Amino acid sequence: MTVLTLSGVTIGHGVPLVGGIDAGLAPGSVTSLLGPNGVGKTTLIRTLMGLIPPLAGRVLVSGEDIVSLSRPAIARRIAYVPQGYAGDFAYTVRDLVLMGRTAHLGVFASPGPADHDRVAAALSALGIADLADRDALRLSGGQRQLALIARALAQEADLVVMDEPTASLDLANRLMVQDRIRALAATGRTVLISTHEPEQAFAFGDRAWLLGWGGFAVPASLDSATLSRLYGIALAVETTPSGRQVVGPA
Amino acid sequence: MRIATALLLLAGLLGIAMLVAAVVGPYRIPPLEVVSALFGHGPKAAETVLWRIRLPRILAALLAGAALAAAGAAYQAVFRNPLVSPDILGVSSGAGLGAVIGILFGLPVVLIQLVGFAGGLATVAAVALLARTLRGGGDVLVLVLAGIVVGALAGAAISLVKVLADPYDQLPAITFWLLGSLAGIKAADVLAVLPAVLLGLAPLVALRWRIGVLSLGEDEARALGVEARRLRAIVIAGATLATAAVVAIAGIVGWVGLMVPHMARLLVGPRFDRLLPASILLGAAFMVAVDTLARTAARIEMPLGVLTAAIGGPIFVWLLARSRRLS
Repeated sequence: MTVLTLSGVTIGHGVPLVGGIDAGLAPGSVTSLLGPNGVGKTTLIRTLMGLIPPLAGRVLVSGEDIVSLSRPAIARRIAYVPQGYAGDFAYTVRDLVLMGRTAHLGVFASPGPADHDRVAAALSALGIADLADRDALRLSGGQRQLALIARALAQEADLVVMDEPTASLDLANRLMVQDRIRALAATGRTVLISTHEPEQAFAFGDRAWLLGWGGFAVPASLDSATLSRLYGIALAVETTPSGRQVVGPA
Repeated sequence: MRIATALLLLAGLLGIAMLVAAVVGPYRIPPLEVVSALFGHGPKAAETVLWRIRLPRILAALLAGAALAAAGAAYQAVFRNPLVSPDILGVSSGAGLGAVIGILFGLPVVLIQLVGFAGGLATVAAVALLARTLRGGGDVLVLVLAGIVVGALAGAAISLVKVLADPYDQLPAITFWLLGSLAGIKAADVLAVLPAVLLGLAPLVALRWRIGVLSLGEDEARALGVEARRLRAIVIAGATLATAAVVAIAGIVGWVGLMVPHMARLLVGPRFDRLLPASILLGAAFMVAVDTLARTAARIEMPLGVLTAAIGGPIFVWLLARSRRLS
């Protein structure tokens, strides 16, 4: 049983962008959606979250066709972490994370004490309990990203989809967020992370989906030849003495 | 400040504003007499003034302030823009156009209200249709621009009506009405718009948590489990209904829908489920106070729009400067 299955999916906003996508996410797996910028990673993410319909094929969430599910039903199964929060209102971290509980509330209901408990637990899990009452717009990019991940945690979905969660962060923040995402994955949640950097994919393990100009593929491994094809330039994967994999020109 | 404390404070403020409004005027009714007159034990004259003249006007001001402030807060949330107000959809101008046409044709007051109400709803329909034609109805900015265009058209049509109006009789009436006023409000007027105001505000209050989530933007709100497009349509319809109803009895009263949600935000923070009740109470208190000022500050009755603009303009500039500093 897969958490998410794409079968013969064509993605695009009205106009087909990439077709013939067949892939699945096993429970508890961490998968990187790797590819250069501009090929449609975000479009694929929006499709598999049901934000836009697939132009062909089917997206199955725990075996159910996503187009037949209501927004709250999808939100209870898939949580979304956007690239960042550039909000228009000065919500506190706690309020932002509390919004993650929406899918579990009745249409006319507001969050109750049980929801606040889950929010506190999510904030602690990401080590940002001390930031709960801070204005989310005034945090560092990394802290804000952790708040958004905490919100996904409070949403209690099996699958967490992250759209380039570290793309706009500086090195220290990126390593910190990366570390917390790995800890989150170790708790057994299924995670899909889009990124344009192969080394990010290595950091989360080598399970990957590739989306390049040539289309979609699920590679056996992320070796030099695969990455060279994906990015259209000659690349070499090397292993450092400490065992870390890095990518450079061949 | 704790939310319960803040709401209690605002409710107290509203109570004080209403009491002061009941006391002051050409015929002064002492506070204790106000209370006894309310329960039918006061002097005959005080009872007549209170029940026939002051209470309808106080309740009308309360309704107008509550509706405009709630509509403003709701528009700000769904358009994700703290600087918009009920005027953004051209609702006020549309309702205003309907009403001045009613005045031009010498219709009775109740019919003027009905035509104004129809004008407001027609404007929203036109705005929604225009936005849908231009861009599938999905884009918020297109909707705002469509509102500005239709509002400008309605404004031009109002000017045309003013040119056509009889300069000695109708033109002063139109001009005064366009500036906003609650002079001459009767109990029947209040009862006539009460259902529309309540019908408009009910969905905003009932859906307040989700409306706050909607302020994160459409994709994020949907990913969090909100049927964003349907909710936005409901919120806009409710806020517009409430606004149009108010314009029908009070004329065009600007600034309240912009200013009050901001002041409420300073008190209770940006969370919409808290902001809405705070805005409703503060808007009601503010409007009752401003209307009392309008009828007592000078020998003549001051137009409401003049007072709200005089208070709102500087506050708006201050807010703008403040938001610039923050960003």
